[in-house]
Amino acid sequence: MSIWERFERINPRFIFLLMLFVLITPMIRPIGLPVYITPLTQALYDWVEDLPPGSVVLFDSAFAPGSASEIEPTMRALLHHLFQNDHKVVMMAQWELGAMHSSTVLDELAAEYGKEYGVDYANVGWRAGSENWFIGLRDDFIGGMVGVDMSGNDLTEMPLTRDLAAVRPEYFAGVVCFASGNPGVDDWVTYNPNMPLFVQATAVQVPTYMRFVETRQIEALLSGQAGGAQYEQLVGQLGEASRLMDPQGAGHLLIITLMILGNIAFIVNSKKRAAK
Amino acid sequence: MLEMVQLASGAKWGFLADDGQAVSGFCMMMIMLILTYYVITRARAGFPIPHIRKIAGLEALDEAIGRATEMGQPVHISSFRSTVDQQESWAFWVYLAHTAKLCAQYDTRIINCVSDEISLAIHEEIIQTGYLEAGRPDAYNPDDVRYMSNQQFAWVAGVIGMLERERPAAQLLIGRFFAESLVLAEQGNLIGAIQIAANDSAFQLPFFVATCDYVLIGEELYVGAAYISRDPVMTGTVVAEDMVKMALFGVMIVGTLLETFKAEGADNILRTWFNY
Amino acid sequence: MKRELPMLLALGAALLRLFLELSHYQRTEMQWQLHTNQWWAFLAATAVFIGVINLCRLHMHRIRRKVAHWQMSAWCLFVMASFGLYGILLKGPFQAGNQEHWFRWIFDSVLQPADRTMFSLLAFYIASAAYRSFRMRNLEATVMMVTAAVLMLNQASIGPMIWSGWGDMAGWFMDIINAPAQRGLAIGIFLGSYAMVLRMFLGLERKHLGL
Repeated sequence: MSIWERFERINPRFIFLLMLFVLITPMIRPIGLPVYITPLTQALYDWVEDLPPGSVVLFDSAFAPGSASEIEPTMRALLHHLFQNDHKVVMMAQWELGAMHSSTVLDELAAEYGKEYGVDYANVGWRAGSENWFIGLRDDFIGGMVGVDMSGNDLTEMPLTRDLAAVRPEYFAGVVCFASGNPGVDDWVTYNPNMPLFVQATAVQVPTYMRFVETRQIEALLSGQAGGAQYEQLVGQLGEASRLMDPQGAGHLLIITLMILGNIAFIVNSKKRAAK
Repeated sequence: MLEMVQLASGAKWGFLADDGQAVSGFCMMMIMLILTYYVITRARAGFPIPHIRKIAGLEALDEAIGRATEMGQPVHISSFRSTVDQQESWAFWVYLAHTAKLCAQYDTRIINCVSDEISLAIHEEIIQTGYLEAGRPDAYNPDDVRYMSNQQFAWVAGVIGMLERERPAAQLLIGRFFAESLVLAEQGNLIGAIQIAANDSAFQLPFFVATCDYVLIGEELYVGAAYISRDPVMTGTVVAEDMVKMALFGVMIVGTLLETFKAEGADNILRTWFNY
Repeated sequence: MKRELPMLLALGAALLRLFLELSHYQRTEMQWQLHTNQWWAFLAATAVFIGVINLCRLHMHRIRRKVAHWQMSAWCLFVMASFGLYGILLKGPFQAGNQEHWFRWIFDSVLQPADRTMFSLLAFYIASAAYRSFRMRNLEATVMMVTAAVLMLNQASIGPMIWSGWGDMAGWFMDIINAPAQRGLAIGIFLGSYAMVLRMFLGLERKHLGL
């Protein structure tokens, strides 16, 4: 059996091992690949820059901790940006585990900037009821949240939330949806199309959401970990995403190399089989 | 809890919601309803209705179960997002009933991994009915309908463990899947199972296309659910759907021409109406 | 009656929801939603027990028969019972205990890394899947392979380092080729799912009723 024949029938476990090596090496010895800012990431940055001081931005955590590596860096960088510019953040969640995960991030960043709970930020969490609940928020935010935040505090007693009557542009400057599936972006586009929508999605979702970008239903779209790295660069707070761009680049290169070699093996072996 | 509801503003009446597209959406819905009623009535009266083309993935369903029977291995059929309020779950139930009946007839084990507690009872009922219809109620094994977890990756871990241990010869992944699609399909590939996927989520289609033997793309999931019943009344709904689709294509072409050739500053009547 | 009553209930609920969505009468809508949310939350909470019973039955069965890896079944039952009981007994069954230190520690340091590990498996599976499927078997497969390579190069920063035009090329693929295809797919999916909904609410589809 020639080397190309062996290569074509390679055990996938060897590929897994190779991938592990390629991902770990740049973590130990960083290469320092450059990060290029895309217009869709720049759009989110520019929007935050243009916001009047004290604007209330709604965060929607529609992801589970599994995909946090792709989504959390943008959440952190964006919180840096918003708190630096003295804006206020209200966090809600369409996924129950997203609520738990994001509260850790929000509390950490708010403590770093000395922000006060209920005045500068609030976390209302997740409620059961899926689409029915979500549609209800369009008319009545506090009622839809059954009047309390994630820890049971009365929303009508907190200065930040008591006047937030509904999830509408009159009350929120915009919504940033951190999405890794459904429910998520589709619900905003379908049930609350008037809210300015900004999205950080896992990379695999980006091709699907491009159709909303073209029609201006999404104002900015950040793609996976690369989006996080770009926003970190823009804000000047280099974090996990920037550090992990090297392994990501190396992983992609490995896949491309495997594709090329696999095709060479395929062509060589096809010719051999045809000759026989 | 109802006492805690805070209403944003006074109650307001309106025939249709004040958000965009409500009127056009209502009209579209009525057109589709009337068309469906017309086609179903025709089918019930015995008049011919247009034929639905063969779908390769559906034809392969019997082949996959037959292969599992020959090998004496079980068939695995699952949908990740199988909550009772989703239309993809309803479509999945049709496939589940069909597969359960075939498996009962061929005396092949059917394994179903469930991620939603509420659906569990429905899945058990459907599979049991399949065995009853095949005249083999005693062969139904309740331990083969397994609730794994309602959390995405915990469910996946359970399913791939099952795949590795019990090595089903056929794997049917039907319904809505997210990041777990590739893990499941690639694991199925590693154990050499014949795989059929049907998915209406554009995010995961590329993964299924790359790893499965047959894929039902997008609406084929729903069309297939009507097709396997072989009932003209059911397929009538698909015919109505196709008629609306053709009409929509016509609207798109006319709209594009109007937008392209309209006078400077003039309104595109179609765009205005669809936003109404 | 087993057949008619659930279908009538489903049809009634669907018509009421449709009316409320279209008429947009806020107060009724909110109360209806709060009621349904509460029913739903109660139903979901009760159904968790059904899931737990099924899980216990399955794993107890495996432990009793001492099948291969039965120890893992015992571990699964232990983890489920201990975390569940800890959460319930922590501050009483009706109190919010999700901010408690050890409860959060289990979430942050056990559940999260486990979840991330499962997600990261994708990196390995995508490598083997791409290696196997991106072959120049025919024209369509070749087009798919070239597109994948262009998009990957752009996503990984390496593309723009080699040639600045990768970004434009990837953008062209995404905007001009991908977006319209996705729109076509979305229209089909919407109409397909709408036909499915009609079949369900008109009582044509009855598989869920065991009929």
